[in-house]
Amino acid sequence: MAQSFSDAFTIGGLTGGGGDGTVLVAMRGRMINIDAGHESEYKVDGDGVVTVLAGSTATVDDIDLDFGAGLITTESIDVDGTGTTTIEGAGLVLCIAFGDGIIRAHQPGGLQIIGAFANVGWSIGDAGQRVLTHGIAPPDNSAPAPVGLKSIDGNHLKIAIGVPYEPEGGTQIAFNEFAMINFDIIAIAKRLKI
Amino acid sequence: MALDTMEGSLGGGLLPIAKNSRRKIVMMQGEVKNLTQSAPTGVLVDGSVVSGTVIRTDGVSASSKISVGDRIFQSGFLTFRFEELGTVTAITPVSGHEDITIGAGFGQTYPDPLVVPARTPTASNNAEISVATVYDISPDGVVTEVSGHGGGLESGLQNLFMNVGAGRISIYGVDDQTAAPSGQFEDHERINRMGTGLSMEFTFGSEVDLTDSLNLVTAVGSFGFDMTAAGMMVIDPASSVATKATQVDRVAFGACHRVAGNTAIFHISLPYEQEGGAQEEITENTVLKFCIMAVADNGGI
Repeated sequence: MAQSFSDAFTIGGLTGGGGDGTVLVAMRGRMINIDAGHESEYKVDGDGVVTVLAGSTATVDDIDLDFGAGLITTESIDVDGTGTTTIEGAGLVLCIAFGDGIIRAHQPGGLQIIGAFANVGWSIGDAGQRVLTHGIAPPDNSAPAPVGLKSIDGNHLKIAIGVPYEPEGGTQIAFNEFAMINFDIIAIAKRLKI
Repeated sequence: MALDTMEGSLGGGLLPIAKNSRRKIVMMQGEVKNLTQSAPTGVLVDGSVVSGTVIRTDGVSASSKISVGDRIFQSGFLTFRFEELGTVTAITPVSGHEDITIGAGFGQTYPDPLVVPARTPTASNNAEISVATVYDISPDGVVTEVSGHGGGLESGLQNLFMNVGAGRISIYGVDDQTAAPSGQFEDHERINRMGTGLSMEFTFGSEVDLTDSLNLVTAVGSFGFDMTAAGMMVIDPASSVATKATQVDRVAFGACHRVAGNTAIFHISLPYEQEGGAQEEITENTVLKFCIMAVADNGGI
């Protein structure tokens, strides 16, 4: 049957993670309008409704989540990764808060992230038209992005996303507002006692 | 026993819906610096040895850079690859040279069960020897540098800070010489790991154990470099060491090279550069932020 191999790849279900327990949290989605000077902040609620909190060019159509909710912020955008902002090699820093606000202190009932992992890829070209249709750019218009962990702090984490990967001897592509990032983030968090 | 620090690394339990009902998430998260302790030492192999227990050295005095108990590795343009020779059991001065004894032996006469025969190392004449830096972390977060301190560098407390996790961390094969080569034995000839900046081995337990009852199923990791730490990081608030919050300013990415028993090995990139940029080198002040997670079959514990 179709699920005959499931024992071989199933890790297990997670425990409920009550007081002081641990939980896996995740966010998966895509985003456009990442360009020089376009640093923005968005809130996505539990129903997937997007609200723009900051950014003069930001719109609610810039981001679409398949899974997850919270605050999503773009910082240090550098379209060719030459280090004109904070991190050489990185196109932007993506900040995620699992919640409707950033909680750095150990607040009862809050989350304290203890580990985070992310995969990100770029869709270059006409991807900007596809963010709300769950589409991705054609294969020859996509590029993987090296991702580095920048910080973990309370319910908040930051990842540095590399500019579109080029083979050695290639020419670095600079992205623009029509490029799209596709991201998957998984984190382990302690749920603090109330 | 080998697993006596595992409670300090637990990331959570898993419901028994899978075939194996004893799986757990284990993890480590922290920051480490002084990576260049595990770069080439300047000690050279004097004469090739296909298989045996003793390596003769020349160049820099081995005993000033290597200690009994250290895991040693060779690299260099003559070896074409980076590989482990073994653990040092004795260092003996011999008429202007020093002999390093690897009690367990190396080469095809002493096969490593984890290394395919074709990759069994042969000590190569003029190969550079480097040393693993090994830290033990107790469940209470106390860090002890157990080997790799042959150069009299800073203590373990100043080099490694753990936010989550316990066990053993070993660092080796640090490529701190990414500049273009200018000739034999010059920069980039002493060690060349292509895009890999270092290897990092995470052991969930007090020692590597391939046969104990904890076996890792899979592991993932995320990493970042702070290139501008200037030797300061948040380490020990109670100490007099100057502190600075680590600020990751370079992307790093790693690949899980192998999981075996209670240990996962990652190869971690050099600081990422955009295409056309100039590669930056890992220095003694570079801080690596790391976060790894593994799923373990915890049979019988």
